[in-house]
Amino acid sequence: MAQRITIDPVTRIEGHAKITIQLNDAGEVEDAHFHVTQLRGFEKFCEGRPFHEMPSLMSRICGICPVSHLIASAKACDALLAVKIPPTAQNLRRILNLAQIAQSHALSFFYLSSPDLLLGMDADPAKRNLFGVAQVQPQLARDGIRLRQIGQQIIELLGGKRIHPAWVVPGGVSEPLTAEKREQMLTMVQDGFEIALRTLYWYQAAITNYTEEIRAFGTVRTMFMGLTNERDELEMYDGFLRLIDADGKPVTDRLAPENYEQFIAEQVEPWSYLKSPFYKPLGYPAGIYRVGPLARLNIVKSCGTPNADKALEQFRKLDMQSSFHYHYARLIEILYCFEKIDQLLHTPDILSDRVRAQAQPNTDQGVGVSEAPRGTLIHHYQIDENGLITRANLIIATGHNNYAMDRSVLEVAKRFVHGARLSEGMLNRVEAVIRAFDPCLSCSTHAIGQMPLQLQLVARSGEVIDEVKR
Amino acid sequence: MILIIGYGNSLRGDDAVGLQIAQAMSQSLKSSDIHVLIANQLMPELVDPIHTAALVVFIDACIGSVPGEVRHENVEPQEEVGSFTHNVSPASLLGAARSLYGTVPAGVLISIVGSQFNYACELSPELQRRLPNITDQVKEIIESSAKVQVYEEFEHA
Repeated sequence: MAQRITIDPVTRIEGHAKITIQLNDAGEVEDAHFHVTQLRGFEKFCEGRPFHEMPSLMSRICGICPVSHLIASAKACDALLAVKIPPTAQNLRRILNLAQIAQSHALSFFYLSSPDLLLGMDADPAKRNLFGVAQVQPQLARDGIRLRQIGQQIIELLGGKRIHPAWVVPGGVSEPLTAEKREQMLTMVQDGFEIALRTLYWYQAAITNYTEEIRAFGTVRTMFMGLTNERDELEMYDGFLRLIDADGKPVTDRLAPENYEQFIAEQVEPWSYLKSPFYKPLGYPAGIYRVGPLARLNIVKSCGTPNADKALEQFRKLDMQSSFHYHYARLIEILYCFEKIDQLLHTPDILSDRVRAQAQPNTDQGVGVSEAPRGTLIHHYQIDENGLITRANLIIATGHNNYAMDRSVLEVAKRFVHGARLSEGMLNRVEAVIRAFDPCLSCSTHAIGQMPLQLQLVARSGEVIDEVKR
Repeated sequence: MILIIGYGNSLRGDDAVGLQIAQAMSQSLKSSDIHVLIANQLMPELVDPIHTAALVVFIDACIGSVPGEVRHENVEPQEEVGSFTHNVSPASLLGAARSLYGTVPAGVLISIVGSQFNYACELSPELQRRLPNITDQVKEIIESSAKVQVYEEFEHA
């Protein structure tokens, strides 16, 4: 008799989602889906608002990565003004974005995933949290907290506050950097760099413990997409888009991000509020791609900073398709972020007070694209003659990965879920593949305390055959 | 070191009473060994300054039947197994200080009963009216817990 398993909600991710697993008559997995069950509506309710409100408004999409939305939104507004922002402003925005990526990656790796990585997928769920990590490896837990703090403090020093800073504005940034703040940041960056390197070494030594998961998380083959620059380096702020296929061969290159509608379309599936973007020329679902840390490292030739490049050499020896390596890629990117911030803080004009271009709207459409912690982020606005928003289209980083996450759930369920008996480890592995992508689904509704997790195996008759709760 | 953390949502009316009081009173600190932090909510990263403190005072808003009532309780460290990402409790922050750093600061939670928590940038008229009295009570609790004078004499705005 066919049966359905529901994991609702999925835990240790940003936002709310559930997973359903359909079993066939033999008790083997037949199908599975990742459902995003919430609706935000930002695209609609910003219509009619003045365009210059967009950075502040759009940053409210997320409490974890507000800076990413702030930057993509401000870039879209720069395009509406048709201005080239001052180089110092661009570098300051880059620093802000890198600090944001570092702290968001730290949250994902240390808070959400390290319990699985350190204690094991089958560990007691009561221990699979940061306290459990602290008991086994307190330094790792302390490092996670410190890394988050460093990223947030840099954001606060630049933007005035940790969450929803209003410092990034259309045309640049509102205030220049002071020498005192620069010195404070340089000290923190060194600290962050050392923690990132220490964690990377630990992970490189531990990776052989995850062989089975690496294999199971690697069966979904997709293209990869991300921003890169003229030097084929990791690029988080600007540049052009590149797609490579599942074997690492180029599909297309030097795509102008502002023309994204020519090559990206979005598919709506009945099981989710989250749309699935795809590469138009290949259609759906053949045009599915992944974004984020794994994609970014796969599409570039180098990171562009010395220690991240050394780590990238080791990373290249692995199976580039396995979504498990999002964790590894995240650590390399944290290292890169601190190295790059250090470089940018040493640029000659970083303390310049020329940080904002002033203008009125000069065109009726603007697209802003940057790399967010979870991947390529696109903001697209249209305005009327009064500068009021008439249309907004957002493609959020997590959305690009939607179909890949959905199919990954199926593959991992096939590998680990069998028959009518469920186990905690089984359930956790199905969730863990989603966690590897670090999806950010709502960014505004947050769980307080322990999320209830219920996984039921229910017969068509409604009989509960097995159940796991936590 | 005494650490005072005032927290709440400044866009949700009386939810901001804790952070407003902490902020206002931070102008009258008696010693450089007293630090005040303002936060929208408690976050895990606060464990870093907390673990070096001898006393941590949390000032928050709460719901209740008597708006303006000031409650206080000692906080015992607790290693809560729930989410440790977006929002954490005072007890779990002290628990984290013990787990991660081996230090256990004394903790006090001061809760002020609010009357409205809807979207608003200002406190309710009821709390605004009672604010001087609330502030005096908060000061007294802090100084009683610290067993030292924390604030200079100050006049209410």
